[in-house]
Amino acid sequence: MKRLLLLLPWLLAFVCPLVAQDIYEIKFTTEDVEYKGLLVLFSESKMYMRVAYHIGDKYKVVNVDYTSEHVTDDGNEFLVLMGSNPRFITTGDKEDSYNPDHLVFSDILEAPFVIFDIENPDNGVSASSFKPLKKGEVTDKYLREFFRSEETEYFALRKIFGLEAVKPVPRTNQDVPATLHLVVVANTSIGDIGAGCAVDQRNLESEFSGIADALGIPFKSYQVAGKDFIKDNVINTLNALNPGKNDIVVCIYRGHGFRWSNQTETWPQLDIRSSSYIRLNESTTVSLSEMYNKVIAKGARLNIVLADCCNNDVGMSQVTSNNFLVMQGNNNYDMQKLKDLFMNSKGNLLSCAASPGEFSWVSSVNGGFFTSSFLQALREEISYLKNDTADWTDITTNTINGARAKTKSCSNCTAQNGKYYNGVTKK
Amino acid sequence: MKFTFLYIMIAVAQTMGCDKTTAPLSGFLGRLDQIQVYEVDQFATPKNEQVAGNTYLSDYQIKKTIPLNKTTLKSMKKILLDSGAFHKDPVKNCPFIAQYAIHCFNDKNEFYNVILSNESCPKCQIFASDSTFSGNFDLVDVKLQHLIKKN
Repeated sequence: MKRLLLLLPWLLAFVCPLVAQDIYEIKFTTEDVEYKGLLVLFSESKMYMRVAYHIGDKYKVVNVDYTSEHVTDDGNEFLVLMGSNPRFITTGDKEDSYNPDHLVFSDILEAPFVIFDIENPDNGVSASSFKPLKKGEVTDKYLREFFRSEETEYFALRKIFGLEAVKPVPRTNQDVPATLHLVVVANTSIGDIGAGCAVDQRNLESEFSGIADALGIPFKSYQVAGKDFIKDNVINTLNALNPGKNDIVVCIYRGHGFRWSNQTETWPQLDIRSSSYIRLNESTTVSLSEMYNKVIAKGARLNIVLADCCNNDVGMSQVTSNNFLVMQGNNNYDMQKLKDLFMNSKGNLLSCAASPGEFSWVSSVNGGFFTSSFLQALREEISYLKNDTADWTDITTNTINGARAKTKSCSNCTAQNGKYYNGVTKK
Repeated sequence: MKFTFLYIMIAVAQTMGCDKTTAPLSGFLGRLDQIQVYEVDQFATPKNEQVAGNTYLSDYQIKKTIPLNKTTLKSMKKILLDSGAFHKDPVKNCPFIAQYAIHCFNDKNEFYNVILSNESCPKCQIFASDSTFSGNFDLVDVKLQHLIKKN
């Protein structure tokens, strides 16, 4: 079978885990009018497209907002990007109107089907091309086809496509050296979710090493995965963690999670077994709160602890109780926002993928819904396209909302509603 | 929402080389004329830890046999053949805790063993003599477990 555009497998996983700031060009023609669109995707619920076209000798550009929707029809599944709120960018078009286009993706079509009226889905055309836009391919002239010269989106895209020199954020004398420590505990060997966990492990490593590079600070990575995925290694890794007072620790668990039938605590238990041949008991589990307490006890300035796992009743009670409590980094970071998040913040953040009683979900291609949403939310927050100040509350709420939206786009999934505690403030 | 145009385009694309093969599970299961259902241990036992006095199915220790009537067995086979009841992607991030096993087999050493989870995290592990049918799957619901429990 002819391989489709690389994008489509992502879209058609029905979780739409497009990387924040992914930008695509779409072309379609109706009667005598040729349309060229620039589609900018932040997340499932936040996208826009600039559509440029000529009517007679008049050049027009319209902005259409988009959200994604998963549609099942006669057993076939589609991803529909629903357009709304059209507004003209070109001047003098006040009296004109534009029906927002809707884009329908299917796994065996190379380009989306463009629908002009959602009430009449057959009223549409197949797009003649659909391709991602990359640095080096986009010129200023190209962007000006879609944007006015004073628009903030225009300046943001110029930076993203490397058309504008980015002013370095100056170091101050008060800057104390800091190191970014990334701890990833990922069940990459287990049969059911191992592939998805491995995707997350790679993406997290790539993203955070890119962030450390951009910030110009050392990066230390601690990975507990594969055959090393055992409780002793998790505990030893956490015990050996020795961050400085100005350091940042990001600790992320990817694997099975659950809650004991007699458990009252909100946060899930982490299942540290790499196969069904190992019994689930206290020597093969760690509670998320224990992991969090171990991390914050190290005294780093900023601690981010996340668990992408289920939080459902496992149907077993805890027997005894000790007092244990594709994607590549694209480096389109707004340095000021990155500094605000990682260098000018302090405190602790704890979040998990599901509320008590809930499942969380993972795709073997795109990774965990929560982890991929976290990476999307992080990218969105540190993007040039984001207008307000970067903060961890936005990232956490967008992560939880993003994961929930992904479950809505998946016909087999039940909703996952993540939980969080945010004790991060400005330094 | 009806995508008539899209269906036409999809049909055209399929005729251009997008073959959709249907797994011949019904043929395979049709050859397996015997079926047994067991309650099994929650976790698999490594081969080197298995003991002579116990019986294992795909490394899960059998705790007891659950006799099922013909109607229940028929319903069970119907669910096993329903591809919509199982899915591989995406799946839940919860641990598989075994509870029951369905052993379909014949006298030609062909088998299809379905290790079913408890209801807390509906999943199954399938071990088949034809390895194309083996794998880890999420269950859409707990109908199979309910059938066994109700019996």
